[in-house]
Amino acid sequence: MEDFLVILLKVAAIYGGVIGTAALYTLAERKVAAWIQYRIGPNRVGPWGLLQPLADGVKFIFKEELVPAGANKLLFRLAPMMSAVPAMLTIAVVPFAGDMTLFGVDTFGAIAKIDMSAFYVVAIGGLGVYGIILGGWSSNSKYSLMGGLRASAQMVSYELSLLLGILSIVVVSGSADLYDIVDAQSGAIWRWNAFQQPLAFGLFVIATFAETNRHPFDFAECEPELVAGFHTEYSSMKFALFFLGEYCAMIVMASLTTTFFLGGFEVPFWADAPWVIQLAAFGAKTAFFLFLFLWVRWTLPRFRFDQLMSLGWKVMLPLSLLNVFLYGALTSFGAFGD
Amino acid sequence: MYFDYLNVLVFAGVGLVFTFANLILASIIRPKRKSDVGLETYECGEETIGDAWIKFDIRYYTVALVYVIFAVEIAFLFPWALVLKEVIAGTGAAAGSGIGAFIIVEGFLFIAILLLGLAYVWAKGDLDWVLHWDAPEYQPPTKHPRVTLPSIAELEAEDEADAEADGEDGPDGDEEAA
Repeated sequence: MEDFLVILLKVAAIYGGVIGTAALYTLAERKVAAWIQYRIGPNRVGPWGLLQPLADGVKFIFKEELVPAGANKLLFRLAPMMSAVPAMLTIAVVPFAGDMTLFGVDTFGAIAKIDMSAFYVVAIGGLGVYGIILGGWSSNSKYSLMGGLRASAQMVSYELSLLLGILSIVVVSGSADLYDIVDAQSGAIWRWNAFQQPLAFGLFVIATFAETNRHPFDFAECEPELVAGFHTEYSSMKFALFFLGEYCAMIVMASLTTTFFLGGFEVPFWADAPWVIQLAAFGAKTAFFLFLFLWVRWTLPRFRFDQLMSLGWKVMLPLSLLNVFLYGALTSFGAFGD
Repeated sequence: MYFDYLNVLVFAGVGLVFTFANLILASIIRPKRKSDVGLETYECGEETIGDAWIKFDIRYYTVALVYVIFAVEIAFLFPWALVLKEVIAGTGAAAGSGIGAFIIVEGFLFIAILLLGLAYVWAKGDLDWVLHWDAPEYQPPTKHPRVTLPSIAELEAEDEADAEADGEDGPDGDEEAA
């Protein structure tokens, strides 16, 4: 019984944390944009505009919702959920902290400890593309269709590099459990996979940008060309769900990059830190990648679609394959046999 | 272990309830003012023309097909990646079976085949998003022909030629004037 209560507590805490972070992240997006462009940004609702996400949420609830007359009604209603739920589900196996004791129950800082969690992450994370392509197609709008098609082509192209990056981590760690992968990076800072596998790290970070449809690869929306891309026809809460899914996906990608390459919740040179400090370390590392998303968005111009495709297939994919080849060979010669 | 999958189910249930609750809450509260114009597909203010469900570019299909092949092959590589370290160390389930060298070679052969497949698709041109054709060379429009300005060297040469001409003609001109 107590076990179950602790799990419910963890579920509530992680949902609260992720959705709260997503809400604050929408504000951070506008604030950071403002600072980079030498503006002030939203500052009317609450101190420093901190209540702006809440005001946005209320506005979403009170907005009229339109389902276009020509749309495929069932798929149109299904698509936002198919976009938001997989993004949130992926976070279930991400280790936020090590072992902990809550109310006398020994537990750990994740919802589930699965021995194939690295595989679970890519399997569930890959479902997100269905929401986008269904939303784009079912709207029966030209902009939506083009946005959805572009986004799906882009996401599948870069997912390969993502998968191969994870594969080379699995080769070196000898386990697909995210906890084991984090353990393999514990201790000194140079044991982080970012330093052990710099090529895979670079490719993975670039692929996360494409997977989450962020600048410089935001062809799913592409404001000047496609109005709002695949969610042009969405309004009210359904639009909010797409929005939530997008920001959750970014949080998931940032936390996965942290877990795979920056040692997850490990504090450098402090192996058995208390779980609160581990959680703080995880948050700090993830926050860096979340900031990187914003920083890049307001700094770099957008690619052209053919440049995106040729980068994904002709540069990233061969390099990722070679990286797996290289680290497989190094492991075979016992380079990581500690 | 299976208890952990149950946790994921609980997590998924809470997520679904959260999304549904939001949608239902909004559907109760929000205004409903249906009008035919509002239900039209958005086309930047113009009246909607036709359907969007038309034939789209075949290349999206090609990309998806190539992706499926690669993704499935990578999924097959995961078990290999998992046991590689154990096999090298001679521990785990495969200990003492002498399967080690076979697994290593097998894995690398598989990756090599993947690379070969990539090279094949590349050579066939399915990775080129912009298809190549014999585009005619760019011709500047002829309606307003371009004015080509002479270069400095040409101007100088012209000046020298003028000066020489003045030198030759000058005295004659003077005599005539006199």
